[in-house]
Amino acid sequence: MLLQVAFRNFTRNSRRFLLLGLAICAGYFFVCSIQSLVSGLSRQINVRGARYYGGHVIITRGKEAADAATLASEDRRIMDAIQRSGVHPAAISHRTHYGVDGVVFFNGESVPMRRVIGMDWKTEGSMISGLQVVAGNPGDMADPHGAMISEVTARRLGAKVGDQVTLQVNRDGGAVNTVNFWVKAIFREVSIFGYYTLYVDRAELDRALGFDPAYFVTVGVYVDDYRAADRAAARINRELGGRYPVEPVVTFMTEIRTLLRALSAVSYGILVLLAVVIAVGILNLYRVIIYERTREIGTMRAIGIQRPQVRNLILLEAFLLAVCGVAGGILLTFLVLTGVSLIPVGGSAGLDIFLDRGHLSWVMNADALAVDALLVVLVTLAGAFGPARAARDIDPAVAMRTD
Amino acid sequence: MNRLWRAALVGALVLGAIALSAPLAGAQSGGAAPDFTQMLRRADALVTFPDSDFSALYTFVQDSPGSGTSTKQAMVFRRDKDNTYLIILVKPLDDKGKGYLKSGNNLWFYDPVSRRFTFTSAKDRFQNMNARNSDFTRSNLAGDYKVTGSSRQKLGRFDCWVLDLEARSDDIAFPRMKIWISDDGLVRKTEDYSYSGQHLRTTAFPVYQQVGTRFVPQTVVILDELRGAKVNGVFVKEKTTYTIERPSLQPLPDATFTKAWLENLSE
Repeated sequence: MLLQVAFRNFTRNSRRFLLLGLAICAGYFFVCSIQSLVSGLSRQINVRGARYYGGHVIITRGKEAADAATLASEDRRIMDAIQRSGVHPAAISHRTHYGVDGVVFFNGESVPMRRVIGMDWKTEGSMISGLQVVAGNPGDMADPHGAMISEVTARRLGAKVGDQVTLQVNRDGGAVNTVNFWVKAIFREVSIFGYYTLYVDRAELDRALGFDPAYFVTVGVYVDDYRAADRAAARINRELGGRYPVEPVVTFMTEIRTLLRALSAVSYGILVLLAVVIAVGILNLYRVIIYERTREIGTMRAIGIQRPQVRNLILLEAFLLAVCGVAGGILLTFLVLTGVSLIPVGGSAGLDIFLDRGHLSWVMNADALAVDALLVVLVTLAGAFGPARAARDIDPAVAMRTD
Repeated sequence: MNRLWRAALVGALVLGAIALSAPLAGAQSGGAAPDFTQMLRRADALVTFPDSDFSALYTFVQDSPGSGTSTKQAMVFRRDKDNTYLIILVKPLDDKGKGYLKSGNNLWFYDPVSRRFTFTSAKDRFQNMNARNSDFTRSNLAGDYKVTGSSRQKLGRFDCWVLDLEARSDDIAFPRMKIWISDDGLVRKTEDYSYSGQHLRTTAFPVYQQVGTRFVPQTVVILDELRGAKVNGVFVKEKTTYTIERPSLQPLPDATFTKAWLENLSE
């Protein structure tokens, strides 16, 4: 009954509420857009980082050489810990990463690699296939003599799918070694995660480096929701008892993580600012509203509506105002970000790590949006609470005499 | 007395002949195969200066097909008995003052712009050319490699032993080598291979110059077997040629082989 009255008051006096509703809508849109973009950036970083490092959670065994039996025992220990942790991995990777000394040769050209990734296509292929492949078939990487090179590397080498390239590495002791691979696929990836990254078979890379084919440096755990990586890392770490470093993948990208945190902090700062503006706006607006509706309130009181009901009516109207503002903000955010993400963005080296195939990436996280919405509603109610109490205390006799 | 003088003269001549023919001791081409480890030791000894310091001016010409040539000049100071060297670039102007200091197993690169020393590897390419940082250190073929095969071959005007070498440990940059040693005991050509047998580079030492009782190449030509480009439809390998001038065995101050000296020199 009270809600019906509140709704009727709200709709009949929509012009009165319009300005503040638009302000809430605009503010919420602004915060929501920033948070969605930050979430999009975070997702891009996590997806790319997981591909680059081999999972959302990385367990580092270390680079020490070991025989097959030791490696098997270490692997068993890590796998058991993952199982005991209760984490349900989407995939588990075993990788050997080779640093900056790798050089790829083809037809007299050479390109130094930033990272040579030795991986098992069978277990990790589905995770890597998210790479934007511009030529060839990544499925052919099941061939242990296959390699995936970046578009930039391919261009510099003048190599195409089907060409044989030579990878030069230094063995564990330092001796130069070379191994030939057939280019199976060429991928397009952003600067830091891909220009100079080479994907090859792990056992082949291990042999080239002078290690046992079962050698691995890291075990990576892919999880379905990257936001759960911190929790998953903590649980696996607990099971391993600190024997190996276990870290969420963003730990390896400290600068980017700092940037994301800064952006997130800025968005929350704006949200707080918005909350203050809404609270002050509501307070002032409702003072005016209560003044304008003194006679109306007096009449309501005269026909038997109790004091608390008057207060609640005002608060319900404020609640409806906040809900409409938030709903409008969500709709506006969705429409604007969908429109913006259709526009191709130039691939500058600084920006491209945040883009999804050349387009701005965004994610509207329901939980974050709900928290923001709740905050806006609470602030609106808080702003309206003082005037609502004043309305409650209006004397009907006095109110009826008011012009 | 006359007879005594004649005997002394003949003796001196014989000794002189033996001394002169020492570098040709391996000239025998027939009969039993020589001791190849000894041959490597001798090849090392001929280009090593255990009793004196060595310094010279090196001029490098890098020929990258399709990208032209570039020239660099460096002063090289070596003290083989301590297995140390110091190299300072003097040309071109952009690289002037850059330097390398090898002390034992450590090798530092000095950049005068940042005034910082950074660790580098003896296996790295020297100034992005086809020479490696390890090419300037004393030769240790006999210590680093064992001989796994041999044959006789004529290399231009030189009769040579061709030795197949395999590194004794995994920390030697090139795990396999093929080496041409002429009958005078000097290395005339080397081919460096990767662990898997890939031919990586070829180095030729066509002319040596004698410094005291030892030898220093006058010119060294290094062909990169993996780098190059097609020029007019023909594949041309990347090449580094360096010449060594003004070799000297004059003693160098101990301070020469220090970071401070490199810093001061760079300024």
